[in-house]
Amino acid sequence: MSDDLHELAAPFALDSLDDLERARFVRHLDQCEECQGTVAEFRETLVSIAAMTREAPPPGLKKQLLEAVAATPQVVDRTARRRMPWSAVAVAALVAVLALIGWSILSPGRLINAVLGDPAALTTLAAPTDNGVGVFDQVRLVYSEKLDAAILVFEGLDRPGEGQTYEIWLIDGTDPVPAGLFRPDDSGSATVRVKGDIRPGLTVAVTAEPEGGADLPTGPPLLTADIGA
Amino acid sequence: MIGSAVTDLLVRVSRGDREAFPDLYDAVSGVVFGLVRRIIRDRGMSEEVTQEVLLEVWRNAPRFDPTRGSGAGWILTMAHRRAVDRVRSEQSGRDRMAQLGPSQTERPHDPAEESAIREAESGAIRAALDTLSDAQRQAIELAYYEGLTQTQIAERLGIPVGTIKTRIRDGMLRLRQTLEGLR
Repeated sequence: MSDDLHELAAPFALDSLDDLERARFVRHLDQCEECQGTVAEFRETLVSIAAMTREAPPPGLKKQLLEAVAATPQVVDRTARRRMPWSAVAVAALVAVLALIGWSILSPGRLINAVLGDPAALTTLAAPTDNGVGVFDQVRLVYSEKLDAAILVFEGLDRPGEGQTYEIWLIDGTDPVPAGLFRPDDSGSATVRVKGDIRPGLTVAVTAEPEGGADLPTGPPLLTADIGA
Repeated sequence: MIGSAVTDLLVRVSRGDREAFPDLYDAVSGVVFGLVRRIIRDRGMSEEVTQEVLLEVWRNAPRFDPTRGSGAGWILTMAHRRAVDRVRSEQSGRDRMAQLGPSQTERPHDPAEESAIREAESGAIRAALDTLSDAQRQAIELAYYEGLTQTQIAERLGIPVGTIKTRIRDGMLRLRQTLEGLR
């Protein structure tokens, strides 16, 4: 992968990068205004092309969707929060303190249940990388904005190799940061919290590492999932 | 054509205006479903993904920033990503099934149905697509409508991945240049 990162803008806009290239380019995109502009232009180009193909969805879909919308709160935009007037900041601070108190009462197991039970939680199906195909049946990443927490739910996960453990990574613009170790139970299930500063837009990855974990991944990622995607 | 009306509606929705959502649905659902259907093909699964995407549009609308792109671009980016993710996770499931024995989970593919879902094609955009070489158009279509990575396209066509990367990049640059004048 020796391409100039700028040249990945077109395949990125087409969703035609594999998971690793994509994670690499997303990190670059954060820093590169030129690529942000190029990607935005490619996306508008694709709107013109996509608009050629229209098909009316079945009439029932609208009704179902409007019912779902009526029951679903919107996210709070974090960039907008920074622009709030002081009185609103004070209220937000109070809410944050209350949330912290609530947080400390939640044991790890209860936090997991709370996230999985949050009706507004956002579930992403993690995509296996080439190395992850066949290693697990399904992995869901469940993110609760309200609880500021993300949970990985594994089904049909192989045991890690002898002397190995699975390690979760949080990728945020720079190097991957360790976000927890785990092993599946005998049935191949595991439900684990992703540790660290959880924010939408970050990527979660999982690798197999030597017992005790590593500071930086030594093995290839088995899956990636974007928080809140 | 899908345009600034969609952006205006999405801005209203981003401020929590529930009244604007049915209008936004009317403006974009045909294009979203058309795109998702073309990628996923299976009708039931396409309906499911369309509904998920449009609910995400509602949920995430406060994050939409109209200074960074159009409403239609924001919505279709989300729709495309979702549809491609679905196709890829189906594909990896099928690959694993294939290791076990004969596949019983073929992706439904009915050529007659496929032509039926292709509706009116705008002459200007068709003309822009015609400025691409056949090889460029093929690579872009395999990426955009089949959800293939560049490596998968290279494997499918038996061509070096570097050639595919060049075709996609040059093709997209040309399309952008040609279509810029139309907006």
